[in-house]
Amino acid sequence: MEIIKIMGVAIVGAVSALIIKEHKPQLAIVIGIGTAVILFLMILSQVEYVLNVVTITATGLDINTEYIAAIFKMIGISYLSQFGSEICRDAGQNAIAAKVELAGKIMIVALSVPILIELMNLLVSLLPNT
Amino acid sequence: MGVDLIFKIAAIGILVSVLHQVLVRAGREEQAMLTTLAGLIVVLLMIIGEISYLFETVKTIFNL
Repeated sequence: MEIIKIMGVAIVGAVSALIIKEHKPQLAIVIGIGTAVILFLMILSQVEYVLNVVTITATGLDINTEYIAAIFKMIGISYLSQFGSEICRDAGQNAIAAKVELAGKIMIVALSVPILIELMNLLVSLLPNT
Repeated sequence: MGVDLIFKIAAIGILVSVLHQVLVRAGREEQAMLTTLAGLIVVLLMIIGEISYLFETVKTIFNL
């Protein structure tokens, strides 16, 4: 069972970070980062599997692949910005964490602008008398 | 990769803190600070490799 392995790694990482924390707080943060990286790499194959299934069904229903690609980009950006902001929060830098999250949100909004424009054009074209 | 990375970092951390204590007791604060710095740099170099691997993988999966 994958989840037991992941939980084991997480607990080991947390405990070893705690041990190192009172001697060398700087190294404790690095252990936290390492554990986070390992946990994500362990779960990666299933993320890839789900994304492939979504892409196949989308192309099957001949939805425009550009939208699906944009959605995946947004998921990637949100994951990475959350990863970075949580690490900054671990290190006690809440201001930096907030800035990272802000940057992530702005990039996602910037990504969604072309899609919004296309939606607006579609709506306008639907109006009867223009 | 995997769990042994955590153990490696933890081992370096413990080693650095012990060395720090020994050097401080021996009255050599500068060397103690330098050993801590060296240990931190080694650990960071190990982690940078893992993080770049993670970012590459995320980039390929979400085709960012």
